[in-house]
Amino acid sequence: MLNSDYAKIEDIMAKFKFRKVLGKVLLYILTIFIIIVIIFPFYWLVTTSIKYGIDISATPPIIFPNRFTLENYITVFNSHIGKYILNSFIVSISTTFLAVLFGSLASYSLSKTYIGSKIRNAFLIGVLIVRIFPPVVTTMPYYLIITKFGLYDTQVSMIITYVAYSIPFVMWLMLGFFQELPSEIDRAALVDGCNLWQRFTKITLPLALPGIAVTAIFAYIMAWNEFLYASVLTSQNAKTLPVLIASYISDQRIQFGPMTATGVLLVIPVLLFSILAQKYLVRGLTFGAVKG
Amino acid sequence: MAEIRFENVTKKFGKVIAVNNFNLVIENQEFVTLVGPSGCGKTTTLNMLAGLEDPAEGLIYIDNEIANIQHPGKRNIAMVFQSYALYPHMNVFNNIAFGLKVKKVRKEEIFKKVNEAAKILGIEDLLNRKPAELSGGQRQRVALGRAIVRNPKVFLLDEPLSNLDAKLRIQMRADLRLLFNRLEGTVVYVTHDQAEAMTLSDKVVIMQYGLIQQVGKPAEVYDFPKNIFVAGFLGSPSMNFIDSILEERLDGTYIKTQNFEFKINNEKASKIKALNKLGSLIIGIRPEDIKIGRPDCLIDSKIEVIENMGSSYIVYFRVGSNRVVATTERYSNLYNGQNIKIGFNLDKLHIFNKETGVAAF
Repeated sequence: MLNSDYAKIEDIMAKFKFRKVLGKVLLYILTIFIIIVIIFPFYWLVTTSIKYGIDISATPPIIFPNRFTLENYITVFNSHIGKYILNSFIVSISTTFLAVLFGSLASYSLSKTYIGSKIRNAFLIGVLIVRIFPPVVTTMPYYLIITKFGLYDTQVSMIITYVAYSIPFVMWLMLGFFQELPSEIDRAALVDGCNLWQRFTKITLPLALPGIAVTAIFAYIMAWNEFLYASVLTSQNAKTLPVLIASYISDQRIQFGPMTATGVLLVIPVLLFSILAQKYLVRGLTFGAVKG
Repeated sequence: MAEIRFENVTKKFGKVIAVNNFNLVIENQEFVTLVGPSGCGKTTTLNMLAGLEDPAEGLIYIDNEIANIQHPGKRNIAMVFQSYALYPHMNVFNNIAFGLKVKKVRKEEIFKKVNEAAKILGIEDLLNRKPAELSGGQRQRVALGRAIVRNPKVFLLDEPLSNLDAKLRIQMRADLRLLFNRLEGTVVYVTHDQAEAMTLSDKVVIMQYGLIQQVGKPAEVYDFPKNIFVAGFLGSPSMNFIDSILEERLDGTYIKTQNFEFKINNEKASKIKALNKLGSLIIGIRPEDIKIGRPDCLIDSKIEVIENMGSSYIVYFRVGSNRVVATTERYSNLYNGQNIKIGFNLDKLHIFNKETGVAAF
């Protein structure tokens, strides 16, 4: 080969390398932009909660505050927030437990009983219709029913409402997981002498655990963050954190400090929950994508 | 120990008849293979015996007891599935022990039995592993362990070797035969692989479209297929089929094809006439019953392809518009494109009615 040939090859390789590097740089810029869009509101929430009142309403806005205070948190903790946190926990945990329990059982039976596919689909779509309505459509009926039963402003009323609202979601998600489980495993257990309950508890449930974890996290987040029903069905006793946050907006002013501080407190449990369950979450979200 | 009887068993999925009027007796300690192409109803039959599917009609007896009404767990059967169906969240010990645990067998006894089964199958070292950490062959053994530990009346095996690679499959085939000889159990084995059916079984049941085509000992169904489907299904490479007609002449009865003809004796001629008066026939000849280049060979042919199988050759001949396959020993002086005369071993010839596929002999 001639020397000029080598030069040509080197030239081609250099161009190729340059393009590769350029592509990577552009990719990183795009990624950083997307991360900023996602992270910035959260950053703003956290920094606002530790700013002095005067810095919060400063113009131009202070993006990188240089002095910090915990006074917003102190205000929040002096206003009976413990009660509302407890309400939120009770309602969310009960909702998660009941919705996952009943929803999983329902979808397990749907995935295992050999009813006609038309009946099954009709049932599944019927269940889904509850979710298709905008929630605001059903708030008034719920309000009327709940007050009729004398359950207004109780945790029970919230739990009932949230469970009813979550079960379709749990059923659809869990149905996917149950159907992914190879039916031969279930049949093997049948031949090994298991009845339906043993098959569910000893075989299906352990195998569907990642699915249950994901479903539980989503159900929990839904109940924990829910605002509309909570604002309509409660006044004082059963009020949850999202309603408390909204109450910092009054006709005179918006108390940004306590509001953001409560917001941070609202996010922490969900964040911890998700990090702890991350292993299952990733596995669960990709479940069934490839045969494993 | 068990005798199994199917009486007029039929199974439908919607409008599709998966198994049609199935009648079969399986003797105690017999190794019976259900074989056929996919969709022939063999797995459905096995599932009905296991209790995983309910027959639409008919009765299944295990030891003279009607099994239809028994829960699968109460039939005292064990099943090995095509995918092995091991419990992924349990280790090998618990996989094998699960059936016994469900039956509430005492712990010491479970321990003893599982270790015995593991020893028979050579998987003692794997008892603490999860199925995901095992190779295909090892999983296969665990699935077998799960079956034999329960000491069942009947073993059901649904294509247990089909997920293994070719070499391991042949090795496991021999191991399986040895294992079940030793266990003295009744075995019902489902496969689409005719080689497995031929090598393993005491009795072969060949199925197509949900119907039994023929039942018999492997040698019997191979040498005397009842119809053209059975003849074509068993054997590899499969039997050659050539269209032909019957022709009466003054000096006797001839079978005539497009390119060649030969005389047959009176006994065979009368059998063919009883089968089909019109005389539209198919002749069948197995690859190993074709003679190549001998003095008595009369059929003109040309070699198209020679496949070297190591221990033997598979030779494809062109005879007029037909292709004929023959097997022969190695080192015969054949080459591609060679014009050579071939002949049929007339004692091994099969004749089928072209319309019905039924065999005359």
